[in-house]
Amino acid sequence: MPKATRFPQVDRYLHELDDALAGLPAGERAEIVAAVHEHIEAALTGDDVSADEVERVLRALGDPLAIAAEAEGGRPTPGFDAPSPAILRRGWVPALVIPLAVVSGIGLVLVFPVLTLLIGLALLWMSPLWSAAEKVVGTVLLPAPGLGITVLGLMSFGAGETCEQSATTDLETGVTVESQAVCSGGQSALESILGIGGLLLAVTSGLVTAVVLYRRGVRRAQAPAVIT
Amino acid sequence: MSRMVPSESHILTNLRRGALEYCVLALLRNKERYGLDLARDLADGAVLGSEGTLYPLLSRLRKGGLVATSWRESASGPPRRYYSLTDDGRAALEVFEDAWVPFRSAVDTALGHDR
Repeated sequence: MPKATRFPQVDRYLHELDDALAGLPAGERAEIVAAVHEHIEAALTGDDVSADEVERVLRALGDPLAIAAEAEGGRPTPGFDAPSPAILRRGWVPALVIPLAVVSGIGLVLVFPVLTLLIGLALLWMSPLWSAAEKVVGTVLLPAPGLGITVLGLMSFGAGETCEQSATTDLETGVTVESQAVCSGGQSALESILGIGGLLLAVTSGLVTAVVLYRRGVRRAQAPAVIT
Repeated sequence: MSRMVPSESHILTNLRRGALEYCVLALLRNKERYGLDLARDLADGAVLGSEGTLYPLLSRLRKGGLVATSWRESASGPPRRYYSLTDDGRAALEVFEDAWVPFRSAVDTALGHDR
């Protein structure tokens, strides 16, 4: 993991770089991140460094995905040279794909959400705006909030309580004794807690992933040099 | 979008794959240098895409034994990694230069750019 620096922008950049290099052996990955870290520190010497200067240095360093591509470029990968469709790196792509994938999870028992989810995920995978690791995480976590809501809804519908009233009547005196209501089915308290906990986890992780991928996508769409 | 026409960045990527590392070796011909210094020198031309792409390359050169690294104290902060040419690196650079000059001429001639 990259060491913390004086600047949160730099920390974010180095973390992104570390993530992008996930396909490399640990030693090489650490070496490249450390060298880039050193480059940044050397470029930003002095106590009075403005946010603009930091931005300038990071922009000159370039997109972490491009650096990762160079690192993998040393290894021959068959079919790697296929150019990605240029239209899928425009700025509107993150704005379409991310909400589509997140919202589509709701009501996945129906056909329409399944279709829109598949479209959203297909666009996510075809677009060059995100790395392979980001695409995998997005595929798993973006539908999670909607899926969680759907599952919880199904559980509540299916878990109806049925209650039976049983009463014992003393035949001689006609007095009803021991009236009981026996309820079965429904959700136990534990199930309810797990359900809510699971939903919260799914929603939080999904929304955090959505925000991170959206912002990275928009930023890369605006950068002049994006890898092909 | 036509599948047969490559983009400029696609072509540049391929061209760099052949020449960039030798440009880096050439910059180290006379003295050892640190990363930022090399990046600044190369960033002026078309040879280096973005400054960050220098570092995976340096890592590869080091692993291939063409470049060596050492640590030097720096006046303005933590010690810096300095890169220098090894004997193998020097030899590789010579081989490249012997190949490059006629190659460049031949390409220029073919393109009709000869004087």
